[in-house]
Amino acid sequence: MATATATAVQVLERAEAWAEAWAKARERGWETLLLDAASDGLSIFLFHPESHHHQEIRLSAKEPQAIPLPMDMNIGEATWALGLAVDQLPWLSWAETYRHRRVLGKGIFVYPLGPVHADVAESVLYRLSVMGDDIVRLTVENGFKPRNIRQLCQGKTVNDALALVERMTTTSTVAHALAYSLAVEQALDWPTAKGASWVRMLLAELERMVSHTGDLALLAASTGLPVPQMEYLACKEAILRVNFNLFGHRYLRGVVQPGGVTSHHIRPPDAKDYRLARQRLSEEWERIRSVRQDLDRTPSFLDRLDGAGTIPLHTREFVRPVGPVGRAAGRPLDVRRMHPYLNYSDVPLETPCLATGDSRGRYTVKATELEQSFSLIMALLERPERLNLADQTDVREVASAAGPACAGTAFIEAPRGLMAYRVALSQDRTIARVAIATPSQRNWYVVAPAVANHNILQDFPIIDASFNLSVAGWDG
Amino acid sequence: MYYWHWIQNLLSKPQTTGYPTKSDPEVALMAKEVGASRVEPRTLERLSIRRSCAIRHLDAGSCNGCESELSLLPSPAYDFSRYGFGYTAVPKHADLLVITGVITRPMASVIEQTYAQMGVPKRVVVIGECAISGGWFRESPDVLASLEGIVAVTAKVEGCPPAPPDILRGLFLALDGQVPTPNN
Repeated sequence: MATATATAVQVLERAEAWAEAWAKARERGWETLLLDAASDGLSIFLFHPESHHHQEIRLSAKEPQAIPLPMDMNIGEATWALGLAVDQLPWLSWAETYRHRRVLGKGIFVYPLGPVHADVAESVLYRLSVMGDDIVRLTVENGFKPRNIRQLCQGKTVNDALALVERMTTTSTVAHALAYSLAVEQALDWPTAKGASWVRMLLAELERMVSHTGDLALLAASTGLPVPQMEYLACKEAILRVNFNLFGHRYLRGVVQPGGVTSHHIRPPDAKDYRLARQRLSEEWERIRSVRQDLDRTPSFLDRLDGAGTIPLHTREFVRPVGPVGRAAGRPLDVRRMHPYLNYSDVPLETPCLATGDSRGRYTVKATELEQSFSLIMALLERPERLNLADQTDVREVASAAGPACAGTAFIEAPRGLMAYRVALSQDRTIARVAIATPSQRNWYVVAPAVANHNILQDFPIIDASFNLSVAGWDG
Repeated sequence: MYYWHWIQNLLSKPQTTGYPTKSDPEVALMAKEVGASRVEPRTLERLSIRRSCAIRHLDAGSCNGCESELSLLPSPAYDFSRYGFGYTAVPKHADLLVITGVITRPMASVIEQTYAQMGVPKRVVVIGECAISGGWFRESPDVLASLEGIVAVTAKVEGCPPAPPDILRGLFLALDGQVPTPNN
């Protein structure tokens, strides 16, 4: 378990000074975790990967004032923040609204794609400005599916809010539940049950495997290779069934809770169940390994990925992508290593990091991470005595005891990258406010510059599949 | 390069479940227990379309759970193409409209347009609690409670998310007017 480091709080009253402090900290290597807009101010939470220090820069709102746009301060990872509930917080207003750019010129043709897409996909609108086959510019328009999860959580009980945040993105259910639970546990100074950390690690890695096999299946399909697509989908289904057999839900919903973990089955998984799961996963492993070997020997696949959708260097510096997307572009940030939570400091973990920033890089990083998650799971399942679901704290018991208002922050490595939660609880132990930073809402802003970077229309589905970000996690 | 796989597949037993037309205890367990998913009982007339049914999927505001399950339908485990189902990219080619996720205000008109583009006969299958009743997001200001007044719904598949076998049963219900009973 990582030791909780004290957060240095810096309170500022002028919006310009606040934005400048943020931009300066960022230049010195601080990573932006999340933005939390409360009724009395706007806080930015930062983390320094080398020194492991935490920092909060708070703009205390004594009077309404126009806040400089983060983009104007050369901070690209908080572009989504413009969507913060401006009408709910009367003091909050941005200095300028976003300026839409347009490409003009003879022969430029705008190709609208969406919001409804071919096959099974989420609703988002792409506008591809093309010149013949060359993609000159791409704009990605989101906001077709606002569910207002952050708003809905207000005033809910700890358990009800958990159900809501779990549904942010189902392919990251465990990640959301885990980050939320860690934040609540920190807020209430609530000890996690003994066996819970190991089980939570198992759950998180199972989810990473599901997410990555799904991504790789889509990538194989986008290059017109149905055989590896089906192989990966078969693996995904097998892991989902393992999830179901162990914990009673294919996407592990409701399994991670503040205070511990639970199972939907009447009988929690025992050593025999874990052994069966281990056997099942090893069979799948043979398949995953052989598919990757074959793909790595298929020029028609690799040639489509090489150099396609390269993230420009200035975009990388501006947005600072996280997760596999960032690691494929030379940003080695992996929360599991840089700020170990649960028991990640006790296990060997070699995070892959490439500098290419193209689709090939993202494929390699995801395929390698898949292998690592698998070996992690195997190591965890080898010692079933540590994966004990007994004596978990009851969430209702602790959460019903009234106490002073408090807040907790947690950040973890979700399958798609850094995910941060800040949960504020009121005196009656209902949720006062929850601030969420999902990896997708940050990474989506590298998609457009990466696509409009010397690619042609035919590359677009491949680049899109190589990112495979969640729209639900962006729209909230 | 995949010839070896093909030979192996010829020699090994099929990976595809027979469910819902044949019994498969493992799959049936998931179908029964996952989020209490089931297909709403209802009898319908049979469609004139038989065993060649193009599906148009539309995400009206989902969490990508139902999408994840829908993308597994063509996989070897369920292989819905053996019943003639397949996804189509064009609404004009579609016979079934499959809607997932809460019905958000921005998507309501998109659903109407997509449905209007489809040729007759056409039917609508609604997948997951969210699309049926708004689920956990009913109170959200941008979410409509149901598809009422937008399109007529043929079959509803409950669950959060419903497991692929249940989605298959829902598709059968929309197509045949009844859910097949497993027999051997």
